[in-house]
Amino acid sequence: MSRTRDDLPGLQVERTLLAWDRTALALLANGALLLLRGTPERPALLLATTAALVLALAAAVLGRIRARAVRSAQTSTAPEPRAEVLLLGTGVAAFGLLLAVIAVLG
Amino acid sequence: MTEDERATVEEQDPDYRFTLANERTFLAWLRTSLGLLAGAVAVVHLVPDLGLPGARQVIGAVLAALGVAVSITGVLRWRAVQTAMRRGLDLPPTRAPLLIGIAIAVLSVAVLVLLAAFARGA
Repeated sequence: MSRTRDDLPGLQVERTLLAWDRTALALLANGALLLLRGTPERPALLLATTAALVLALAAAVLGRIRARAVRSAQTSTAPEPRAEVLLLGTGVAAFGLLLAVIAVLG
Repeated sequence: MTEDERATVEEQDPDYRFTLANERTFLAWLRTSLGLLAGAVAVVHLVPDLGLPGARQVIGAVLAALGVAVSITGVLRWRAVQTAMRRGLDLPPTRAPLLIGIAIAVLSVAVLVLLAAFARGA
């Protein structure tokens, strides 16, 4: 089946890649926020900071994987980001859970 | 739906623009979650004492819990919308953005009240 994308196909992919990058930047900002009071010494804070930075990297990488997958599709459909959504979604949820525990236990 | 009815629902890959739009919406949910989590960190670690002991911890925990709920909602919503698109159905409605807005407003008022009532003047 030949490609039938006859609108401006590159722009949608571009917007989506930028959305992944914005999410990576938001994760970076959350990590930086945890560092505002100096290098964390308590293990929970250290873990949370590391998690934020790792997730930021993951978002950047996943964004590129998605862009490549969508661009190389041969039809007017695209592979679904099922694994990417699950990975980043549960990652952020776990990060949030850690922050909730830190807030309560100090 | 009975087993037979479920089996005969046709599923098709949606146009790539719909898949990408759903993907971007999911990422917007995640960024909303991260905004709430940043608020939690700020309230617990970075703002001066609100006057009432334990208030920061409670507000911080509530914000973090909201952040977790929003990120999970984002994943579930992505799935529900993607399935609806595959089956050519109407997109499922959601009141979550309205509820999040209300929660943020309530928490903001709570912080302002605490500041007015308990915090030492600068």
